[in-house]
Amino acid sequence: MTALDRVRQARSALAGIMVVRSVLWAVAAALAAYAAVGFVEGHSELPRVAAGCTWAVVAAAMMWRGRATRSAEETALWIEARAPQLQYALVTAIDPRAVHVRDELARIAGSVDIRGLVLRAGARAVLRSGAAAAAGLVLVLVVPAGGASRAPWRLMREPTITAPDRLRGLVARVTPPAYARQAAREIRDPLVITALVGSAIELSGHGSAAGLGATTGEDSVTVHSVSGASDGPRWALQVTMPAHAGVVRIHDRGHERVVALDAIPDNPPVVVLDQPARDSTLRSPRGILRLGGRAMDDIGLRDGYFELIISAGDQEGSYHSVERRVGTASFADAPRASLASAIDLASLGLAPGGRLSIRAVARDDNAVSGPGEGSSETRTYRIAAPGEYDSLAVEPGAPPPVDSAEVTQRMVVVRTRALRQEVPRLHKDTAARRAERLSQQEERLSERVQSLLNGPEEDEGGGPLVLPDWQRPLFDTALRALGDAAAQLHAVRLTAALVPELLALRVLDSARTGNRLYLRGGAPALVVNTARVRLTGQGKPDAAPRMPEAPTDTAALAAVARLESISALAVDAPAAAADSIAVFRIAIGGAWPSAAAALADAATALRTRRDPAASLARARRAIAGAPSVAQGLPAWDGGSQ
Amino acid sequence: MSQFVFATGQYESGDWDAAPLVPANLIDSVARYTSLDVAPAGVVVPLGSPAVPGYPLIYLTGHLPFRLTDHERATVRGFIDRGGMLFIDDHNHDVGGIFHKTVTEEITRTVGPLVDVPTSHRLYSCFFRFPDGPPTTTQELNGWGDNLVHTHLQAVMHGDVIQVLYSSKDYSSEWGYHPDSKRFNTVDNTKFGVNIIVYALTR
Repeated sequence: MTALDRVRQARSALAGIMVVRSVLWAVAAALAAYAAVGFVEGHSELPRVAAGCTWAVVAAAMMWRGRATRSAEETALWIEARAPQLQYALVTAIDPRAVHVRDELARIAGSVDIRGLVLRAGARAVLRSGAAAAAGLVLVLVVPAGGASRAPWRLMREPTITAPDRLRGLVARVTPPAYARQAAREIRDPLVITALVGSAIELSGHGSAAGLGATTGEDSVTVHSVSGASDGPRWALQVTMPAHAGVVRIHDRGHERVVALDAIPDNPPVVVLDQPARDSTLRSPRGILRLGGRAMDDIGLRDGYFELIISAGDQEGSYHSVERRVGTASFADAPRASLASAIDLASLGLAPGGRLSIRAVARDDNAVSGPGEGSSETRTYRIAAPGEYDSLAVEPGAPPPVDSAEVTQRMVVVRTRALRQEVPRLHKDTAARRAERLSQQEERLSERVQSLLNGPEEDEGGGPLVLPDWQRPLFDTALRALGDAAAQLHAVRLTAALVPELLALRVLDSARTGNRLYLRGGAPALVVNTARVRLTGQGKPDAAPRMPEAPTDTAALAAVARLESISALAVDAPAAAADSIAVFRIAIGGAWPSAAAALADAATALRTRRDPAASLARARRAIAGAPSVAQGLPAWDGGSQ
Repeated sequence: MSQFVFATGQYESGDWDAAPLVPANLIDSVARYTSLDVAPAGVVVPLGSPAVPGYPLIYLTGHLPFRLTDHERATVRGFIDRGGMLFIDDHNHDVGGIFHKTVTEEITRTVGPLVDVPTSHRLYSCFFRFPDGPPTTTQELNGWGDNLVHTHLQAVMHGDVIQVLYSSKDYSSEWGYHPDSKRFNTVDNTKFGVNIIVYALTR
């Protein structure tokens, strides 16, 4: 065997050793990476990915480092480095240019046990790398997955999801209803599924369907196995997006996964009637009336038309109406469309007093809960009735109430005297009119006195007014005198009227001065609550005016309370907290949209093992408002008088 | 010690009950500021009634001519002689008015002449302090009545003791409101009324 043969043999052995060593070192590094990443991240795909990448990188690096085994010269030099007594005889012996000394050098090289040298080096390398791999395996076995979250040096725990495998890797396939003409889409690991009402939703995951259960609302959902899947057995369930928001709960033994369903309703079309622009009244039903309108829909419009109601008569028994449709158009699922038509008023059979009501109508293509129908506001054309133009439809208002102010008897006396002096200068009718007015005033005073006598009257304090016995004769006299005076005034006998007027005045004054009596009531009887004034009473004080408190937003308080409970749950059970957030988000989405968006962020943070605190705080502020800042208690001012 | 009862005098002439809210307002103030045992409601006592001497202070007011009957006059004299005190207020706030003219004439005839009460009198310091004399009323400042600010009250004095206190300042208008409305006032304008009552009870 020549020296070159021996070197080539050694090179082959070293290549094999290098490969084995590289693999073992790569395995050791991969196991260490797996343990380290698993310690931080817990059960997930990430440790495996990290281990695989580490293995590849380390193996490649080690291979590159052992590239010296590719040539015989490098191998000879490797042997020369470990057998210095050769003094480069081996390298020289395999050089094709050293033909004349090849035998001598081969003899020198043959004195060294190259095979043993290679075997010893190989054994050392394999032992070291094997030990490293074993150490890595021990590390994997010893270091707990997710142990970092329970490490004492961590101030805040990172939320981790420890869901069972069958509820992980959930995939939702959402297929909108056919009429919407929208593409199906896939959502991985869904927390909330937002889709059109009536969409078909298939939720699937890894594993068999045995032992899995699901509910939506009060109804149970069948979970079945999917055969023929390329990545192993799968389970799946189908639900339809309900009309209102809801949740799907999937149960796997003691575990539960909640997926919220956020329903998007298909709104009915919005229709605007552009022509005619306003109501009107026509003298006669003649001419062409142009109709124009617009329709819009969130999904697509099917068709539209103008609806006419021709009616006549305005009383029960004589009223009748006819409905017609004109300008029907098909829109072929366009989101926007225009309507146009024209009608000949003479052809509608409108009679004087008749009415034509017009509105535009459009329908969408909703095959699930529809079709949705939208209509514009109605315009009315009225045909004027005969004689309508010379009437004034103004209802007379109620007459104003009679002035309740009354003049006193003394004033009547004064006015009677003044009228008596003026009578010679007045026209007869004027004097009679003024005397009649005084007569009416006397009659009103007479009625007041009569009511005092009849009772019961009320004084200003609200209590009953009781006439003492001694006052009754006085008021009786006054009543008769007032009647006499009114009669004399009615007859324009002013001098004769003054006699009973003065009598009535005198007796009324006598009654008044005897015990003051107001024709409008007596003086109020006030009793001071001295205990209340001295703040020694037992009654409830009501002196200070109070401002009503702002009504409490109980819905917001309840939402904040629930948010707080979810925040507390997020520390110990992030998976449950994420589910609760999904349900809570659906519940408040309509009232606080910004809070719902923040909750979605919080749920995502929990699912991806990030801190949800900032998102939860944002949701809380969206519900309850920003916290108010007080500068401390107000200074005591010593009270006020 | 018997309970203090605020009495409003009823006289035959004029309108004796022109200020029906004043008694309750002063009773409220007495209860508010003092510990006097005060009756929660005032009484009306006819000046000719034998019950008149049973009250330490009788309040009189009105707008119309004031003239006592002989019987009333005799009763009032007896009331004053037995230590009672009359407080008369001109509800017109008008020294040229009929009430002022008639009441000063009647009091002069019945009890004695009216003189100005000095601002140093104990009346102005017996409970609250009024160093400038009687407090000015709104009626004096707003131009009603005689458009004068009366700096002094007048009184029939027996030595330094007031027997009949007469006011042209129209306190009957100034104090004629419901006691519950007092909380709307920045300064309680009935405090001088408390001084009058305390003086009448302690002179």
